[in-house]
Amino acid sequence: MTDKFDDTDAVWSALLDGQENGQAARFLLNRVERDEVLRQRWSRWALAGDLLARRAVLPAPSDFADRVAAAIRAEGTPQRSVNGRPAWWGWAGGLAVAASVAWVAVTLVSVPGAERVSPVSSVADAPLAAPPSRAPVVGPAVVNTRGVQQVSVSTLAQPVNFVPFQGEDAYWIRHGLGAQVAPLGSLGTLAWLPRSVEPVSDEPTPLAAPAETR
Amino acid sequence: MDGMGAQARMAEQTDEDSALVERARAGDARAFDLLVRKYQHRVLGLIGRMVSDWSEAQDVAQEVFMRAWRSLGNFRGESSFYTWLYRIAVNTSKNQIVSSGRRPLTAELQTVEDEHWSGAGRMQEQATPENELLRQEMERTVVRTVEGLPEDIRTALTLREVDGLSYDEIAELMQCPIGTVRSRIFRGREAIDRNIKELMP
Repeated sequence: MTDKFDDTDAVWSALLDGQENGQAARFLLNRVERDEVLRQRWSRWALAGDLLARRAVLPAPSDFADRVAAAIRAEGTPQRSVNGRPAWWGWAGGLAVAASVAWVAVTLVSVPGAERVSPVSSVADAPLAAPPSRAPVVGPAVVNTRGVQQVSVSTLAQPVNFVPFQGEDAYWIRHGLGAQVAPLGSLGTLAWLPRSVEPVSDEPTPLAAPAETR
Repeated sequence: MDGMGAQARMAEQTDEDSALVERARAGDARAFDLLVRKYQHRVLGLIGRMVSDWSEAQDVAQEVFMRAWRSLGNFRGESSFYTWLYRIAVNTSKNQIVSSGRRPLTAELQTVEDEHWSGAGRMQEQATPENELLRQEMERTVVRTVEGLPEDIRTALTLREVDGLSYDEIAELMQCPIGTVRSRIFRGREAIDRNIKELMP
């Protein structure tokens, strides 16, 4: 047995045991793709360990892993899930939120007699030199004459305002009853919204910041 | 040492493959290929006890790895990667047996529960007698080679492969730097590899 050996081989051996995950391991992973000898040796090391531990193994043919790799190449990389959810979950969630926001905006703007407050007005009022923020910021919330809240979303830094529902409104919203009876097909009626709403000032009132969004 | 080794093995197997698994989950087929090469012999050994035909056993094993690749995104790391792969292998084998019109024997399914070999007498349960003979010859070669290794190398390799200790634990037991442990294990593997290379199918 020789005393000299390439240290990368020892790193390679440690990688088999999950004991080497650093830069050297990353280098080896790049190298292994074009080094069939290395891949075959890795397989034999694993087999030797299994045999030494007297595990129930059967030596795989030398081309078995290559056949699996070819089948994987032919099939392609599947969509991975994130945190146990399918990859499309995030997109679907985003779409659902976007659809909800659009629906609320359309609904509120179409209320007869309601004061129309453009969702983009707050953006237009923002100073031109305002530095862009990294994440979208919820702009001033405006409560119109029917107590309905409108929130604009801007990519510009804006003070965050939020006006909570009060009294009976708060009760309805807390119990989610409004949403349960909301007719999807009657966007302009707002029949499900609480009716005894005291008019609230249209002036945005600064309050707590919205919950962090992912 | 056995009890301690078993505990260490259980604890460590949970994340032993985590780096490769994470890469594979991110779509790195090279990392997954290494996992295939690491566990192909065990998976074939498992399937070979349920599927009698060697060619069929290889097809089922390939399907096992394909299923693992497809559903790797669902692997949450709550068990070791091999435990997860093992379940896929058992289910795929059972499905294969049922779909081919055979009825899985209770004895066949029970043997699946034993990961470790119980010696001779299992040959009739193997995919082919030739494979079993080859396995036995390789096992003898491995044992003979390890017995002939210098004591420090033999101890490091055995603590790792049989008792499942981490390099840190071996370094502590053998009172040497972790780099020394790494090189001893590597040298032991290389010594074995020189002897079993020619026996590989």
